[in-house]
Amino acid sequence: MSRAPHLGWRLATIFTWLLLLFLVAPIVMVVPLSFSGNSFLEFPPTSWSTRWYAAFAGSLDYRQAVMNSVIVGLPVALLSSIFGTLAAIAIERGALPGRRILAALFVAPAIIPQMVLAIGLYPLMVQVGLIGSFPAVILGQTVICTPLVFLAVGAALRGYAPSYELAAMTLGAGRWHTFWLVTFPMIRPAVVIGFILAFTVSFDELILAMFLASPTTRTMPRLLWEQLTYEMTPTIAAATASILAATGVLLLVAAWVGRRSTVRLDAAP
Amino acid sequence: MSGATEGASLRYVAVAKRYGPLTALHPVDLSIASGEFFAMIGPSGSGKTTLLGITAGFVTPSQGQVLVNGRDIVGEPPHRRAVGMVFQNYSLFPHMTVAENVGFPLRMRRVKRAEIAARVQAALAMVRMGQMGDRLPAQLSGGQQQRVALARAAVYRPALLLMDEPLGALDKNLREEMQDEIRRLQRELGATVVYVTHDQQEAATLADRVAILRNGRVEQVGPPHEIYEMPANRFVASFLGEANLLPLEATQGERARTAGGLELAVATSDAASGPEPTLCLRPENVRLGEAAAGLGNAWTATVLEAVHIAGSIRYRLQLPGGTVLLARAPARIGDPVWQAGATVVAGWRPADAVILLA
Repeated sequence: MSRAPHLGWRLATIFTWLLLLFLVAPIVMVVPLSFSGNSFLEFPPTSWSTRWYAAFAGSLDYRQAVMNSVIVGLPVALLSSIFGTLAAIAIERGALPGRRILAALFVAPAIIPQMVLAIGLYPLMVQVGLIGSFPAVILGQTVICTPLVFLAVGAALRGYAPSYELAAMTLGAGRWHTFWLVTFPMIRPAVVIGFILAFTVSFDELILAMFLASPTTRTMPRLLWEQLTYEMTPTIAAATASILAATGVLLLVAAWVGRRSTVRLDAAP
Repeated sequence: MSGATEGASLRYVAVAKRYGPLTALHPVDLSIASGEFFAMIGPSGSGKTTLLGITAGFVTPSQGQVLVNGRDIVGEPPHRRAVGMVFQNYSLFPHMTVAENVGFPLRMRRVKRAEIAARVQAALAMVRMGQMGDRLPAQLSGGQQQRVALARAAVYRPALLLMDEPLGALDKNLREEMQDEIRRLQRELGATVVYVTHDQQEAATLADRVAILRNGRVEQVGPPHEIYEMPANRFVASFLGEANLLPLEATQGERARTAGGLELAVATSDAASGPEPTLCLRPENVRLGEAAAGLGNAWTATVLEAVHIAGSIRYRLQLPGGTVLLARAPARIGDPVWQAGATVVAGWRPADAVILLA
């Protein structure tokens, strides 16, 4: 056996770890910053404390913003899950003409710059009198979150043959029963993952929130943005680190749901 | 499960399916009797699956009627048709146990809980899966899954059972075992079965009658042995078993000449007026050596190849003028065997060959 592939393998391993560091390091940077004892954001911190977490927890502004983000995020996740699931079923199982083009259109909001969407939605929301309200932010963010559910559920539907639904029908199940007893249980992991992703994206979304929310409906990212412009205290880092932790937990749940379903469907004797 | 159901009679009247400019199925007329085991075979794209889909209600025909016990079911949604269907991939619901899967059609029919349990148990016992009710489909082998799928399609005693290549995913030995199982089940149930396959041997083993489809048309319908002996055309002859097909150039009375220049004796050439008359000779009807002497057609042939396959020997022979002929002879101990390169007399009785019109 020659040494060359061995060396190549090692280099590849090192490169992979460096890449991972490159991707993850900026994210976890906020963690040491949030435990800083200094009064301003600076790296590396020269002393340590947890007082910024106390400040974050005690701040009415932050509490309100977290609350707002949940008030916005849950309906966004719910609506995206419903719309995305229905769209995916129509595209994957329906005999629609031009389904490829339709599928591309459903994914488009996730790809086009959010600025375009924001600028388009702003006058519309003014026109219908929703600007600054929760429904404005919820509707706007649902547009960008629906594609996530659409993609997740579409992949799940492509993962099994349509014959399961046909079987249910021949066995006497109408459309409603077929959906609730067969289709939905089979795509449920994808719907749950889509729901969690939609919620996380909404929780993190800034541009639409800036255009469509008002000071009373501002979400967490918007508050952080506003704070950054005039107050550079480590409270921001503490708030961000808390969001990071919450998001991390949600993504772990999503990964766990995904893995569990794979195990169940693939478990061959 | 006792008490066989009265199988449904099924009739297709000018049923056709077109997708825009494409014709998946040309107008088909077929009658299937109550309790009959009917197989539809053909290569992929022959229209057999389309016809099955029309019967189950997944596909709406462009025209025609599907009569079940004389009543047209076109336009009825699949769940109202009371037709059972078994799929190639079994399509057992992965999130339900075996018992829940088999109970599903009963649940949809609002059968009482206690009765569901009893009937599920009986149906599972019928396919010898009585102990497996609590398992999930993923914990079963392919053959076991197909047994459960059969139980699920049979538990509500549909008068018509459709099967779409149900054994296509199984290996050969299991397939033969399951063929017996399916045939036994059909007798016990009394249901009419329409069975789609591309395996001609499977169709011949199982079915009372077979329809051979090609390019959206029914080429021939009949009992398997009848089709084998009297194929309607060259496609059917070569699709069902092996056949020597010798194109005929000229025929007169009981004489004919092949394109390869052989002068043959034929039973009758009255029928040889078709566009492309062809002589169809099954390999097992070619006799070799002493057995060929004195037959109406006999030539000295060169053995190109001799292959021993499970109890018989398949010869590839070259006749004078270059015509290649397949012959099959039982490999009985003590019988003469001709190796490649040997010469042997090969012949057949005129009555053992059929003249095809197309």
